[in-house]
Amino acid sequence: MSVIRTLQLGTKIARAEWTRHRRERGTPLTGNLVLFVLLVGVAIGLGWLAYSVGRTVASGQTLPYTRLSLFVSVAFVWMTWRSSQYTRIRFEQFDPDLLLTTVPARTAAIGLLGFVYARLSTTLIVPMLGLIGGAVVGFGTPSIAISIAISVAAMAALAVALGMTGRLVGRLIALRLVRVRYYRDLLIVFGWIPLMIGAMILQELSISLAPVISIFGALPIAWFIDLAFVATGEATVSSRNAFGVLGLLIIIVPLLVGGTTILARQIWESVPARSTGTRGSHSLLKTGILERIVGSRIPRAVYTVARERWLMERRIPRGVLSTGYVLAVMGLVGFPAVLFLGETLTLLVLFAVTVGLVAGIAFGSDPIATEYRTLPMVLTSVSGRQFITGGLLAAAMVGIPLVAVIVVPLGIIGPIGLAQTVLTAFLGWAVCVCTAAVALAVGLDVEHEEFTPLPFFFTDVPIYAEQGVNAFLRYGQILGIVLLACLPAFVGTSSYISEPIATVGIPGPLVQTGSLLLTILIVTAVTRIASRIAVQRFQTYPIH
Amino acid sequence: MTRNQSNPAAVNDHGTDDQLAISTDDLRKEYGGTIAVDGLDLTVDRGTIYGFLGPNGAGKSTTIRMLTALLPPSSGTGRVAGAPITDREALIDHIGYLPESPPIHDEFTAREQLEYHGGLREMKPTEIESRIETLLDRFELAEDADDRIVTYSKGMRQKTGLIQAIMHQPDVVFLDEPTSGLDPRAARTVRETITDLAANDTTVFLSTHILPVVEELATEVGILYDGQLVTEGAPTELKERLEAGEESSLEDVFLEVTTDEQYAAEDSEDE
Repeated sequence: MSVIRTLQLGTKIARAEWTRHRRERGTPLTGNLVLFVLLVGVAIGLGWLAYSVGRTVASGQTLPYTRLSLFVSVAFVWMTWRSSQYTRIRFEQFDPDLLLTTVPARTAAIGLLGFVYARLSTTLIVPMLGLIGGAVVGFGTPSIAISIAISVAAMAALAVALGMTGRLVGRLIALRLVRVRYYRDLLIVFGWIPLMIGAMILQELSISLAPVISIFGALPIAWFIDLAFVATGEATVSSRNAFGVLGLLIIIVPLLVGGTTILARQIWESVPARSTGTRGSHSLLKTGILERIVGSRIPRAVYTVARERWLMERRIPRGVLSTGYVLAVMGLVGFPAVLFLGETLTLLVLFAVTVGLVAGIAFGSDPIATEYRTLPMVLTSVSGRQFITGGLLAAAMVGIPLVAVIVVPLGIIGPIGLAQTVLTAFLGWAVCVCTAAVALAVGLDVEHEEFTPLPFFFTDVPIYAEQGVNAFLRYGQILGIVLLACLPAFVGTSSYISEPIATVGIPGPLVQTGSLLLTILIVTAVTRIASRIAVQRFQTYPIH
Repeated sequence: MTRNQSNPAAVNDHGTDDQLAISTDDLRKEYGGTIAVDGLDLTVDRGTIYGFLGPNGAGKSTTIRMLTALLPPSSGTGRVAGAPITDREALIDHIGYLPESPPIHDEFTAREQLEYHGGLREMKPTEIESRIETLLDRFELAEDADDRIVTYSKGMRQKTGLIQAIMHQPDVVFLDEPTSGLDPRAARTVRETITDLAANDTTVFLSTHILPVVEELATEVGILYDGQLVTEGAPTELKERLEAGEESSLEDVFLEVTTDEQYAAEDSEDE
């Protein structure tokens, strides 16, 4: 097949994929108003930035090349990452059986590449218009519009080729080497924790990042600045670099495109190794510890729901990995805030609440997504009360020992009394069950049609999940409700509150203990309400 | 509660006829402006194998979803094994359901999936184990029962789904294309199983496009077209209604009643 024919067919595939994607998710320009407003905000910001640079240059100063290099490098990394994400999502929706029996693999790969480029372009177009507008006014040179447009388009082409190649290499390695996949996914979910600690250490040691930043100016990525500003004739802008980057693209991009073709074919034709074994059953009928103690006071269906949740987490730990959101919020926002309050008991409350949230999210979140395939069976086999109680039991059986192991020793070692330590542990347990109840209620509010198969960590088995930011917002909703219920504990245990109250004759420890008790009561009430809502939603959940 | 535990009295607590496994009155489902099911009146006796037929998009799946309480009707009423179809809690004790795509976890083995289902149904562990073994043997799935379902063929998945739908011995079982993807031997096992279920007083509501299966098994057939029940009766009775009489097949009946009258008239004019 000729190159022109390959490109023509590749364009057709890209257009078909684009239509599918647009109908599934919309585009930033048509499908999501919030995103569009955000992009307009970015465009205004970039326009203002370009205008400022233009005015600086017009006033006789030189172009701030190092700062711009850093900015362009960050933008390039972002574009590459987004391209990688678009590749990941679209690759999962691709239908290789149809395409590979219709066109050669390289045509299909070019189609995918075309889609990723088009998708990235729709995100870039509004910010780019802002940038161009600001630059034209700031520099007073209309021709800069063309050079900026060429520079952004060229940078996007390189980012797309690199992003797609990187994603396909990662996917191929993951298909061949199960262990690598495991560590890769672990790094993605929890990698931010060592990064944050590293950043804190750098800040504490007052190490300057200036030498690192200056490196960006020397990288070929910075040549895109020369290309963007070549029309201005500014002294620091090198036309050699500007044309050099175009020359480099003419060599690199086709090489990367060729690489993606080979990689895509390798992936489509390979038999995946699986992250977990494919043989061996784990009994769901064994009598567990709780069953021996409590016996038939809890219905068998409730134990079964809990056991199924644990087994599913063992096979695909989607709930456990979702706790990354909790750790991020509590680590990046909650921890500094509590350190600012400077109270040991508040810190212990933070630990208890965090552990409770983690266990609740791990076993209570995304009930429809987790049961998606079996939903017709589950809805016609078990009552709402049993299903919800099963979810709460799954969370509690993990959360209770976890809170005890983490919170109780910390409380006893620290300057907190036994009574307040025990109360804090109770709070952690209550939060665990409350989070699971809220997560179940929130999760059962998502319509069946909202779910589509998507790739997930640790496994090659696609999971069902909501697309876009909705799932993320739902986690925010769960965290918001639970943290709001826990507010009295954070406020009441803080010395900013307990000390002023002590001046009117109420002892500080009494205020702290009272606030813990009050929070346990509120959290319990929230649990009851959320459970009722969840049961109601389960009982009336429709499948169209 | 399974069928074995149910009360066989003629009139149940709801004051309805226990001889009726399924009854609907003017059942209707509307999505936006589209009518999927239009005034459906069904009566199916206990122990009947009811062949539910209709062209694609006729409203069969929507009807089954309403009868299994997975979808609330827009209007009308219905009962399955005496329980109102709007009361899922009451209904789940009486039904088994195999949708077109078997509702099973790919990440589980067949044994885990069946244990999970039995546990949800509050069956005793010994009963679950015994039923699983019997049915796995019957469907020649015992050797693969401890393999993950993700490694299964379409037929093996279908068998797992079918075992799941019947393992708790429900009063009424809804089967949507139960022989889809099965090899001839497995398809035969399914047909025999359906006959056995009916012999044990289980009502089988069978939706399929494989008309010879319905012709062989069904004691009663209903054909849905454009959301309406256009004909109903025993297969022989339906065939007799055609001019060719008993020499015609169920396929002839199906084609006759599901042909748009306007197009049929145009066709005959052309001829």
